[in-house]
Amino acid sequence: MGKTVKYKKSDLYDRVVDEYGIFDYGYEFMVFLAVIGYREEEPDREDYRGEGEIGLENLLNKELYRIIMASLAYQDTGNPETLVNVDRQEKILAQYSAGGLQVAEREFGHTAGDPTNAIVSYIKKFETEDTYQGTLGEIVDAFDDQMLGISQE
Amino acid sequence: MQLDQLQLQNFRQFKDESIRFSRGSGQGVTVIHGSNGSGKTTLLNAFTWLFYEEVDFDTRPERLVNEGAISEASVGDRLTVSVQLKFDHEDVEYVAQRQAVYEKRSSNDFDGELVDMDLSVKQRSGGSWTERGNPGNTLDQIIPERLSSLFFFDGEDIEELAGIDNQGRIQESIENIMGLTILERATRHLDDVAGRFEDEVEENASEELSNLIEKKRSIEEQVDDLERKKQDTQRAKDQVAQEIQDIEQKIERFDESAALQERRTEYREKRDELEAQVERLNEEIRDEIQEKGFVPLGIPLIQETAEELDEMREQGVIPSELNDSYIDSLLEAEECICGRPLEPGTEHYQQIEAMKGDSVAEGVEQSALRIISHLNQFSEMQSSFFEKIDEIIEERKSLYDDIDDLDEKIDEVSSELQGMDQTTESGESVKDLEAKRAKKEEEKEDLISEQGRIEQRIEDKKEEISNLEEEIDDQRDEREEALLAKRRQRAAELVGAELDEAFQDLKDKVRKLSNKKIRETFGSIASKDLTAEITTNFELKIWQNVGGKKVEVDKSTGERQIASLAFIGSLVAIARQRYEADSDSEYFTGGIYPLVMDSPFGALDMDHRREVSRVIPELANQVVVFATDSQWEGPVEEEMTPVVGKQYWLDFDDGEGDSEYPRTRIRTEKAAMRSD
Repeated sequence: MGKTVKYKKSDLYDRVVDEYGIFDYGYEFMVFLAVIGYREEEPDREDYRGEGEIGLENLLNKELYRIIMASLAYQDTGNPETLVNVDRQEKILAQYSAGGLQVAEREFGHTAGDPTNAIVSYIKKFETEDTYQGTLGEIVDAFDDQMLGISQE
Repeated sequence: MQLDQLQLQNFRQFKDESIRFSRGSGQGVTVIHGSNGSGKTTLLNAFTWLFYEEVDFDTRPERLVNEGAISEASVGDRLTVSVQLKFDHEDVEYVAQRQAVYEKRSSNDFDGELVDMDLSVKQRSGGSWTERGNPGNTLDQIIPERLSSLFFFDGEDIEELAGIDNQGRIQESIENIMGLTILERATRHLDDVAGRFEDEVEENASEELSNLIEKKRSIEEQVDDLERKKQDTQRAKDQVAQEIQDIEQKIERFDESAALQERRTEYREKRDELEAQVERLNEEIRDEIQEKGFVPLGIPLIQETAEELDEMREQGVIPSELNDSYIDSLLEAEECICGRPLEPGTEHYQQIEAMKGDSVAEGVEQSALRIISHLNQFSEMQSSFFEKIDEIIEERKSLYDDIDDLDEKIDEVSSELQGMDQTTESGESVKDLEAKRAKKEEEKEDLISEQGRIEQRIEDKKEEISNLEEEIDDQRDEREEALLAKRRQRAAELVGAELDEAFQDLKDKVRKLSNKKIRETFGSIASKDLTAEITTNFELKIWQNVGGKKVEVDKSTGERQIASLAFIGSLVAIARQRYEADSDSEYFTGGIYPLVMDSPFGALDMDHRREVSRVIPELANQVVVFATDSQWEGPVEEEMTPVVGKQYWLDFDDGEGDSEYPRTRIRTEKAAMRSD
């Protein structure tokens, strides 16, 4: 059996995953919670392991989840070597996910019935019209050109 | 089991009548024609009364004895009500008879007082008849009471199986057909045993532990109370829903209001369709959240990371790429980057070789590049997420507006009906009926809310129990006796849980088996690309294949009825299959059962009647169907005539003359009937 990630769970997982099927699997909700934890700057460093358990492969098999995990680990430590340290990444993911769970409980955990609309409203709070500006915009543009094989003047 | 002959004496409106059932192969259907109120439901009740002493009459359930007979009797006279059934079971002939003796107590007593009840079952073995010692038990073994609702049922109600919130009935039916009462009983007993050990723990425990146990038990009792309340509320809700339906049927009978009632039904159907569309949009929203919901939230994370990493790359802080193919090229050239020779087998060669695959420096840069390169994808996904969500929300809003319009129209119909004065013979006007209906509707809404509140309370209490259980488990300071009892209690709970798990697994197996049969039956008759199945939650659902995706469809009464009949048919088939299987097992033995159905064509349109008629003969070896003439004529008659072995007509006389009483005669020919 491959490596597993233990993460903190609450009834909200049962509601969001099993009861209302907003996510098919617990690990998808876990990643969702982790980005909430980061966005709200609320990682939980103490109580982040729990009865939830998933195979690490599930996360690593999805390119975008790998990116989220690596970015979280880098932002959390400031050390680029964590980009390839999966052990650190899964631990940090679990910490942000546990923190995100607390935020989610507050934001849509107490909604009676289906929490879909509450989740949409929560995400929509972060909607911005901005595209990449300044240096970042330049990086992205430059990178796109590089990727397309167009050499810059 | 095969039915042979039913004889009734003084049983409600049947004074002295009998029916012989068709048993021919390929013609196992017996049809009993009768107008509304002529006694079809009474005949269905004759079976359940004989077998289980159970009846379910809408009017005067206490009056079993024939009205004419008791009216003509003198005070003190005794009258016998009797139902006798001849049947075969496992190649043995049986005669079962239930008799009730009623005494007339006064000249105004038309119910009589029950003074004696007797059930007898005789069986023929070796040419002579012997009486069974325990007749009730014998009958219950032949058709267990828990199965009766599967084999004797009101066809108009049966579509409810495929309605909402009927998982309980579906699950119960599956449990019943499995007949694993041994597991159910064992689980219950283990529950009691665990309870008794818990008593012991409480007696021997520290005060703190004892208090926790007491508290837990008190909450468990509260949960039991709430579960009972929930069931009561459910029953009350069903009752009110039935009353509403009855009132609406009455409204439909007035010429003046029929069109309005029809329009209301049409608006409601449209509203249901719109609500189903809303649910489909909600499903799309869920899909979007699952696929892309993390993106808008994660964008700053990715942006910041990409920005910083790119800067580091430019500054050369992240080591440049050193990949496997480069290492391979060095090994192949047998020369290291530092200029030293790389001879295979040397320590230096092995060191360089070992850098393949797990080289940190290599992974860091690749990983950084991966993050930067996906920035655009994240950005696009964010835009597409919000665009899609906005589009769905807009569409949903428009549907909500349409639903509001329909609600208004439905209210307008109600207002119009409340202004109508037309009155029935019994003095009820349309406006009275509609006002009553509106009140009932409010009552129903209240009951639904109440049910929700109760469910929430149950959930909260269960949470409290689970917290207390954890606290109880954490208590370590009790005496030896308490510890022992606690271990035993835990053991009983574990075994109970194990048995329950096994039971659930078996039930799931039967569910899957049942689904196979349902698909066959439903697929052969229901239209287009529809399929029916029992979900893992034991809901009987109908799906439509839309572009390769299963979508739950808003079902018509007809489709629900077909799905429900397919479900019942699947259980009958499973029971028969198990019975005929060459198995030594004493469990899940199955059996062969007839089906007795009152009005299975109920409120169906012509197309669905035809489809249901095709299913019915396939459901069981022997089928008894009750139908009104209007239900029978047309497609039903065309489809069923070839498989019908016997037909009877209930000739009802309402006894509206002097010294006359209501009476139904069972005819073998369609005579000049009084009315439909």
